[in-house]
Amino acid sequence: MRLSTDDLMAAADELLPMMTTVVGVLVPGAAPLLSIGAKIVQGVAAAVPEAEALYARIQSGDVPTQAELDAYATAEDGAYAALMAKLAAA
Amino acid sequence: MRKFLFGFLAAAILTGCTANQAIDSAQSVTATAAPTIIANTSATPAQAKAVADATLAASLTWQALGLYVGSGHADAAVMARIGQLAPPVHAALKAAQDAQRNGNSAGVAAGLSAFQAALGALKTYATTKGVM
Repeated sequence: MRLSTDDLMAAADELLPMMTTVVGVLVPGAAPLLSIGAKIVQGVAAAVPEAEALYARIQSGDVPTQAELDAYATAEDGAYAALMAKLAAA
Repeated sequence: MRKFLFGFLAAAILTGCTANQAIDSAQSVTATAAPTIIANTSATPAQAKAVADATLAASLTWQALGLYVGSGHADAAVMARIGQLAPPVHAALKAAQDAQRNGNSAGVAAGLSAFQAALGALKTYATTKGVM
């Protein structure tokens, strides 16, 4: 299942005011704003495909194939490794 | 509903609530799936679905926590504790996945149960420390 263009545009319309408000409150400076804004965009972009997959999986009731399970596991391994790397670097 | 889910995640990210809400999602998924698991000698279709849902939910949790860690506003002690609480969650999930591949129904049930417990501990800590 993929989000349609209309879905994405509607979501963007909803997101923009929130982004402006939240980022503006957190960081009044331009450079931090750009930095955090980029992180937000990256975070949303990373989360949406997973959210789509999760939503579709929960709603479908379909039994996943082993190949799908393996693909999910690989993605989860990557996300976990990325988190641990960030923690180690922090 | 898709828009709601998207907006929910996006809003959570923007307000710094991603970690907790993703964990809530993960707990909801596994809590719903776990009771349906029947301890047969071979893994069941319901178990395969439960493992898939838990795996996707765990991915969301790691991404959400990664966003918190990378925000530049994360507390060092909290990050250290997250670093201790996350591995048991991942390990339990891996055990469930391995059991699923091996057709070990009891192993899947045990793995998902451990996953749920470890995730609960992570959520409790994250909530207490205001990560979300």
